[in-house]
Amino acid sequence: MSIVLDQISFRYDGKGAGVHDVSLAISEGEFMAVIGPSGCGKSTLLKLIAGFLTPQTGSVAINGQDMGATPPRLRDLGIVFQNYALFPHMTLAGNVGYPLKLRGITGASANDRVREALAMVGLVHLAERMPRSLSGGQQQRVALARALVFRPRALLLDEPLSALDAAMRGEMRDEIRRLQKLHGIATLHITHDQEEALSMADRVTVMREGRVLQTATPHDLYHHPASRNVAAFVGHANLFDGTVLDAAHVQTALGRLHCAPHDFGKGTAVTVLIRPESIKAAPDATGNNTLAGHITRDRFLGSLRRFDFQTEAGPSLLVETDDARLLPSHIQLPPDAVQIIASDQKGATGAPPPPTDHLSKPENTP
Amino acid sequence: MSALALSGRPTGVSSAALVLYAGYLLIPIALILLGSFGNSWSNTLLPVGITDRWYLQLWNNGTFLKAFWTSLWVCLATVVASAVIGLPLAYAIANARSGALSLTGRILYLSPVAAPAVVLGFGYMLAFSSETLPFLGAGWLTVAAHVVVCLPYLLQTLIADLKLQGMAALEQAAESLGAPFHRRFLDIVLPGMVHSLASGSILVAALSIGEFQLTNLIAGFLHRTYPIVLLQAFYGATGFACAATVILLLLALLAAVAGAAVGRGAASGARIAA
Repeated sequence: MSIVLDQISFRYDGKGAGVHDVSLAISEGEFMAVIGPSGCGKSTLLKLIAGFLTPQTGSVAINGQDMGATPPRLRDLGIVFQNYALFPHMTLAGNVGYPLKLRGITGASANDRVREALAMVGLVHLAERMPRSLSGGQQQRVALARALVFRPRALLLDEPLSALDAAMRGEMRDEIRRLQKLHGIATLHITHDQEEALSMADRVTVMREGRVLQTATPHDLYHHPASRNVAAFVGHANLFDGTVLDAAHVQTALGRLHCAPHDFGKGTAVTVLIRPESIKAAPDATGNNTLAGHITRDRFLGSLRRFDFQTEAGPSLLVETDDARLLPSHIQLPPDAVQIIASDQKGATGAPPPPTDHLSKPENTP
Repeated sequence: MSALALSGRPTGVSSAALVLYAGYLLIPIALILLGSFGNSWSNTLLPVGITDRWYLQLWNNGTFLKAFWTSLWVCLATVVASAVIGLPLAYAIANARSGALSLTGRILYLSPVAAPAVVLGFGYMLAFSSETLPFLGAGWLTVAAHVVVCLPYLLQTLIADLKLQGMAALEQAAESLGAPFHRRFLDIVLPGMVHSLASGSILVAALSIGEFQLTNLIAGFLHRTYPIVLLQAFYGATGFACAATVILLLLALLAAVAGAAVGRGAASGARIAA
């Protein structure tokens, strides 16, 4: 039960970015999220796996079997669509039973499986209702039940939570993950919401302009982004251009900083990443990597507080803390928190990330 | 205050427009109804006396009776043929992969609306009065002409509904669940189209019953429809003309109901047949 994409490329006739040379492997039972700004090719990727599009080069294999030009209906993939795509003229039981009917499963055994699938999403009592009488969250549960009832080889989720309100989204994240684990099914989840991806997935793939930037566990993606674009897209980030001075020091607009160990040679142009939550308050300017300045914008976010710290050196830094009363005149950047990553200012993905939504865009990238 | 004035004025204008519109629509119909039961109607505002003799005359008039039945079967045949041709055609145009193809389809199916019926009628006369194609005056030719004139309206209704319902996305879902083309069409597309096919068929029926210009040119003498013979009634007594017109109105209502039934039946019938 696996999906393997081997160097697939697809270019649209007219406009549309397509995907270029994408290789990915989703193993049995694995939940992989693909994130990226709109137009990054993530939806195209899903269509290529589903068979709605055929790659111009490269191959898609499901369970080791090359799909070639196999039509979508013979691929045995459960797909949940953004707008649920429930059949409006069929009851919930009719919707969930439809894939069974197509496979020639009828009568009592079909009935049992439909009930079981609806019970799994907690909607068995609504089996005879029509989809339009349901809330968005309920419709999405039915769509999930319908996608799983025929025991597909893999599950593809195409931004399934984007049409739901925030509270329902949180609930459905857990629900989807629970069902996915229950079935132990290889799952590809397409989303533009990085928080959703980080909280749900075993591994996350970041895409941009049709290419894969990085595939890693949520932890590694956040703490060890492969490039500036990944760092900017995943979580909040303070990003600076820097030049390597030696194995432990880097020159930036903030001055000379003591940084985490790295493998870049002296004089290399790099990107310096400092996550907002790793910045500490300091009593004075005596310590290592301390900067003087003052708070300019202060945002209360409940359990968390996020402020802009205008340094005397010039650049402003985004800082996160859970201390509501903290009013530092100095901040300290622990050397471990000053990470050196590849600068991808040159090359195909060199442009700074386009604005996507406020959550994924760093608020004060210099 | 300004808000009140702003919201007040259009309401006044729109209710005046509504009254005018209803007046123009209903007063002639009311007059025709009155006239059909009036004994005599000349040089007076309203007819004088009550009679049923105009309806009796109409009932005993073989030409009108025949035209009545001709109109009805031409109409039903037009509705059925439009549904049979219209559904797959609408589906094909709505699912056209290239923009150019979809545009061509649209121009093609809308051209009968743009071209005056007289042009079409004259074309038919030229084409089908020749010795190789001597079909002018044949009943089926009238049906074919009605289909050409009515189909654009049905297609418009069906295509709009296909887009509104997001049928392409529903079909994609069905395809991912394992449905081949014929199952998607029968299980998902057709049941979804029942309502718009019914309302489109009402439109087709109403248009077919009332069609005059084109039919007048091509129907010949054997298969004249009701509106064609109705014209003759206007040369006779006013009461007779009124009664004949009332019958056309009834015929149109009947056709609309039948059209709706056929539209629904066609969709579910096709499902059951498959």
